[in-house]
Parts: sequence; structure tokens; C-alpha cells
Amino acid sequence: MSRYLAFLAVAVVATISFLGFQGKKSKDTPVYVFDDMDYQNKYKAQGENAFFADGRDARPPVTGTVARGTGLEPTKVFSAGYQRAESLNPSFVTGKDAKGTFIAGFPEKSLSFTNGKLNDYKVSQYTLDVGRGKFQIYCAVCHGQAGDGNGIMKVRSAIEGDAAIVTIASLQTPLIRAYPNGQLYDVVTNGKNTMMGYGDKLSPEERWAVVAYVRALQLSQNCPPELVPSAVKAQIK
Amino acid sequence: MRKLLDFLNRPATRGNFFARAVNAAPLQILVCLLITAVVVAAAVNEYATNKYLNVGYTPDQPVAFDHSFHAGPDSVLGLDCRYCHNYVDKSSHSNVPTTGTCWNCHSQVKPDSPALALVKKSMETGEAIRWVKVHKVPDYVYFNHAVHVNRGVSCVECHGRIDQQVVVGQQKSLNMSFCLDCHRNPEQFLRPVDKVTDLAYKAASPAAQTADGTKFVHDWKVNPPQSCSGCHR
Ligand code: HEC
Ligand code: HEC
Ligand code: HEC
Ligand code: HEC
Ligand code: HEC
Ligand code: HEC
Repeated sequence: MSRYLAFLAVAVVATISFLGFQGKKSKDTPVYVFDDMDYQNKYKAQGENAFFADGRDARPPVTGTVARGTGLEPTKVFSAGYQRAESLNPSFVTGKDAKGTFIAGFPEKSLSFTNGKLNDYKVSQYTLDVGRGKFQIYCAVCHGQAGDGNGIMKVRSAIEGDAAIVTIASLQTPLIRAYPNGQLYDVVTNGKNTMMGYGDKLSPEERWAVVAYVRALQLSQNCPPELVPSAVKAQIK
Repeated sequence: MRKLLDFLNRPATRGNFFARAVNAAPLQILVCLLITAVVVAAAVNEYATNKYLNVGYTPDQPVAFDHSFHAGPDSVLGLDCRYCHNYVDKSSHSNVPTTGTCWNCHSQVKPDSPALALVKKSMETGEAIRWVKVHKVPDYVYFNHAVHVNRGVSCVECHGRIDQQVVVGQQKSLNMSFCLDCHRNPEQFLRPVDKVTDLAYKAASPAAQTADGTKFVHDWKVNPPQSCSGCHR
């Protein structure tokens, strides 16, 4: 018995030293002895594909086709009277009017339909909430929470000259305050000089929400006295 | 004749051809079998489940990207997860960022650093950076990020403290019982939606968590699937 137990102990020690414990860090790809149906031959988001020259599952849309999942109803797309919201209301997507100049305010119409008519676009509390959320995710790291251009990516340069982006603009300057809304929208979409665009990350609705929030920030830093509610005024000494 | 009987009736060997120690053998065999069974069960539990295979998987990535520097409120840059994983709240798939996302900053910050050579090359040639996939559920499981993230399930429940990791590794098992532990008691895990990417967030106390969670489950009509077809569709 003691000989058997000694043998068992050796076997256990050998196994553990060879295979280690659960959850230990390992660089090796897990080996599946029976991989069941864990890996199936199907195209997946951001998957790898040996068939196409660029090695990607994802294919760019063929010209003249509409991507699935854009919220379009097939029955409508193929009906004779189908019209695409973006082509009915291009300034919502480009920020420019028919003549190619930036629109000063917000677009009049949105991209959603009721009974075949485009709905009016209105800036509401909800728009501003969306705008704040998106601004804090995508803009604040450079332009700062208040839009004053002092985000961490700029102030880093003051810390022992750490690598940073020194060209970051303040959104509170008179120049940018005077921008028409359409031009702000255009910067968010396509970027400008050393700033890249965020059109790939934000939908047109979200970009207008960010513009609305930037306007709110500008107002907050330069608020005319008559707009301050009297209750708040009493608190300011 | 007499001699033979005397021989057989010798006190030590009467009717017994085995050594005395053999009397204990059945018991010893039983004990050995029991110990072996316990050891085998422990080994199967340790090595034959997906916890052993998956948890701790920390592959080398083509670019030494460091989450603990870039991401999370406590990091140097404090980027929100969604700056890079920008489809996580919109789609079932949480995307690994495009090279352009890195280039937003790195076109200005250390563009010529050797650590970023592959990013620069990818930007110039349009060839994708081949990030190594870490987390994976089997292809017969349907998983959806947006439904979880938009209902106050934080990244931390399924990915651990990514914002403290230098190299991403799998920290949770992601097996079926792991999913069901939460689907059966979602109120223990739900948090305000704006705290989903704040991985350090904790409710004030376990009691507060249960109270908040129960409220969220009620207000948002949260109903995670427990039937097979919910996840195996
Ligand atoms: C990676 C850092 C970075 C991020 C993130 C960023 N910007 Fe910028 N932004 C810049 C830089 C740098 C400039 C200055 C561009 C120049 O003139 O070279 C700039 C300039 C601007 C300008 C002024 C453009 C002009 O005409 O002078 C606006 C408006 C602006 N950004 C808005 C935004 C908004 C809105 C967001 C969020 C969606 C955002 N930025 C996110 C870096 C950034
Ligand atoms: C600056 C961009 C950036 C930010 C911000 C960021 N990530 Fe990532 N993340 C990446 C990149 C690039 C990868 C792929 C390389 C890797 O695994 O390290 C990745 C990988 C991951 C993975 C593993 C993916 C896999 O293959 O399984 C998880 C999980 C993850 N990130 C979660 C998070 C969470 C949670 C946050 C917020 C705290 C976050 N990320 C913030 C860029 C980012
Ligand atoms: C918000 C801006 C920002 C974004 C977006 C960003 N980084 Fe960085 N990254 C930085 C800063 C700032 C540093 C620190 C540079 C220094 O050492 O001072 C850095 C450092 C690095 C380093 C170390 C460089 C070195 O030479 O030490 C790597 C590698 C890196 N980032 C990879 C990435 C990758 C990959 C992505 C895209 C998924 C990315 N970064 C996105 C700002 C950013
Ligand atoms: C309920 C659990 C859960 C939550 C919450 C969750 N994830 Fe995931 N995540 C997963 C699973 C499971 C996978 C593997 C999916 C697969 O097999 O493709 C994954 C994969 C990923 C990947 C890699 C995708 C790929 O194909 O390379 C990234 C990046 C990621 N998650 C980021 C996030 C971020 C950021 C958050 C928080 C905003 C988050 N996840 C929240 C469970 C979760
Ligand atoms: C920390 C909690 C938590 C974990 C862990 C978790 N879930 Fe969920 N899951 C939820 C909640 C909450 C909902 C319900 C959302 C709702 O009702 O809107 C949900 C819903 C779902 C749904 C239904 C989505 C739909 O479209 O109807 C699926 C499928 C799902 N989860 C799969 C998984 C899988 C697979 C895993 C394991 C990898 C997992 N979940 C892990 C909390 C969790
Ligand atoms: C909350 C989501 C969820 C639900 C509900 C669910 N499963 Fe699963 N199931 C999973 C996940 C995730 C895995 C993958 C586990 C792994 O990684 O090995 C899995 C794996 C399995 C496997 C394969 C196990 C293996 O290792 O090969 C079987 C069989 C299975 N499930 C059956 C069922 C049955 C039967 C039901 C209904 C009673 C059910 N599942 C309900 C998430 C779920």
C-alpha cells in the first residue's frame, strides 16, 4: 500500500508540474481534444479569411447595394416609390445646404419617416444627454470636459514634456463660437488638419447631438447675465 | 499417519496458506481505490473543463498595446472603453478598434516609435493588424454585447479588470454555468448604465446592490433567458 501511495504521489506531482494549475497565465492557444462544434466554418465579424486577397471576412459593399441592418425595410426598398432618407435630406448628412455652404442652425428635418414624410428635427434634453455622453467618450480626452482644449492629451506636454498633441484647439475661442453649426458638424465628421474625423464612430444623429452639446458648453463658459436663472444668481456672490 | 496430522495441525499454519498481513488486504484495496477515485475526480475537474483550457489565456499581441495606460478612469489617459470598442453598445459584436482609431492620437504622439511600427505600416498599406483573439464562446452559443451593456451589465463581469491589465488575458470562465449564474440572479450584478465602463464601480454595500439591482430588473423589465433556445439558437 505504501508503495502504491508513493507511486500515486509521484504521478500527482508529475502531472501538476507538467500541466500546472487552473487559471495560470499561458501564451499557448488552448488545445481542444474534441472541439465539438466550437469552431464552425462561417463568416464572422472581423474574422479572418484565406479566400479573399485582403484576408478579411468583411467585404466592402458592392456599388449600388444597400447594407443589411441599416434599418431599411426590404418591402419598401424594392417598391417603386422608395426614397432614401439620406438623399431626401442631404444636409443632415453633410452639414451643407444645396449650394454647398454650411448651414447655420440645425437641420430642419431628421432622417426618420412618419407616413412617408420626414419628421422635423428638434434639439431636446435627450439630444443634449446623448451629446454629453458622446462628447465625454470621444472628445474630452483632447478638448477637455469643458471644451477649453485642455484635455489630458494636451496637458501631458506640460508634464516633463511627455509626448502629446500640442495643436489641440480650444472650442471656446470666438472663432469657433462664430462657426455655423454645419461647420462644427463637418469637423466632427471629417476632422481638420491634425484632428481625424469621427464620422466612422458616430451616426449623423449623434454628430448633431455632439454639436448641440458643444454649443451648450460654449454657452456655459460665456453665459450672458440675462440667461442665468434668478435662483442661481442669488447663489453667485 | 499421525505424523501427517501433526504437521497439518501445526499452530501457525492450520488451514491458512497466506501470511497474516494479508487479512488487511481487502480494506487496503478499498482505501487505495477510494484515494485513486478522489484524485482522478480532482484531475478531471481541474484539467478536463474549459476553465483549465481558457482562463489565463494571455497571448502575445502583434503590437504591445497596454490597456492599463490607455483605458479606464484610473489610467493615465482615462479613455472610455467605447472610444475604441465603439460598437459594443450598438451591436452584438464588440469590435477591436481600427488602425485609424490609434492613429487619431498616434499620428501626433510617437508616430515613429518602434513599438508602433506595425500600426504605422498598417496605416500606410491598409493591411489589418492581426490582433490575436482572446475571449471566445463556442460557435454554437449566441452571444450579444449590446443587450448586456445597455442593461447595466458591466464589462468587468465577463472580462475582469481589463483596465489594470498590461496584456489582455481571459479572467472569467465564460462557460455555461457562468452565464446562468447571472441569468438566474441578475439583480446581484446590474448597475447604472452610465457606470458600465467604470470597471472599479461597486455599489455602497451588498444590500444596496440587491436593492438597486431589484429596482433595475423591475424598471427595465430585465428578463435574461434561461431556456436553452435563448443561447443556443
Ligand atoms: C485625438 C485628439 C482629438 C480628439 C479626440 C478630438 N479632437 Fe477636435 N481637434 C484636435 C486637434 C489637434 C485640433 C486642431 C486641428 C488643427 O487645426 O490642426 C482640433 C480641432 C477641433 C475643432 C476646431 C476646428 C477648426 O476649424 O479650427 C473642433 C470644432 C473640434 N476639434 C471638435 C471636436 C469634437 C466635437 C470632437 C469629438 C467628436 C473632437 N474634436 C475630438 C484634436 C482632437
Ligand atoms: C485605445 C483603444 C482601446 C481602449 C480605450 C480600450 N481597448 Fe480594449 N482593446 C484594444 C485593442 C487594440 C485590443 C486588441 C489587442 C489586445 O487584446 O490587447 C483590445 C482588446 C480587448 C479585449 C480582448 C479582446 C479579445 O480578443 O478577446 C477586451 C475584453 C477589451 N479590450 C476590453 C476593454 C475594456 C473593458 C475597455 C475599457 C476599460 C477597453 N477594452 C478599452 C483597444 C482598446
Ligand atoms: C487618446 C489618444 C491615444 C489613442 C487613441 C491611442 N494611444 Fe497609444 N499612446 C497614447 C499616449 C499619450 C502614449 C504615451 C506616449 C509616451 O510614451 O509618452 C501612448 C503609448 C502607446 C504605446 C507605447 C509607445 C512607446 O513607444 O512606448 C503603444 C504601443 C500604443 N500607445 C499603442 C496604441 C494602439 C495600438 C492604439 C490603438 C488601439 C493606441 N495606442 C491608441 C495615446 C493614445
Ligand atoms: C455578459 C458578458 C460580457 C460583457 C458584459 C461584456 N463582454 Fe465582451 N465578450 C464576451 C464574450 C462571451 C466574448 C467572446 C465572444 C465571441 O466568441 O466572439 C467577448 C468578446 C469581446 C471582445 C473581442 C471580440 C472579438 O471578436 O475579438 C471585446 C473587444 C470585448 N468583448 C469588449 C467588451 C467591452 C468593452 C465590454 C464592456 C463595454 C464588454 N466586452 C462586455 C462577454 C462579455
Ligand atoms: C452579469 C450578468 C450576465 C452574465 C454574466 C451574462 N448575461 Fe446574458 N443577459 C444578462 C441580462 C441582465 C440579460 C437581459 C437583458 C434584457 O432583458 O434586456 C441578458 C440577456 C441575454 C440574452 C438574450 C439576448 C436577446 O437578444 O434576447 C442572451 C442570448 C444572453 N444573455 C447570453 C449570454 C451568454 C451566452 C452569456 C455567457 C457568456 C451571458 N449571457 C452572460 C446578464 C448576464
Ligand atoms: C445563458 C446562456 C445559455 C443557456 C440558457 C443555455 N446554455 Fe448551453 N451553453 C452556453 C455556453 C456559453 C456554452 C459553452 C460552454 C463552454 O465554453 O464550453 C454552452 C454549452 C452547452 C453544451 C456543450 C457542452 C460541452 O462542453 O460540449 C451543451 C450540450 C449545452 N450547452 C446544452 C444546453 C441545454 C440543454 C440548455 C437548456 C437547458 C442550455 N444549454 C442552455 C450557454 C447557455
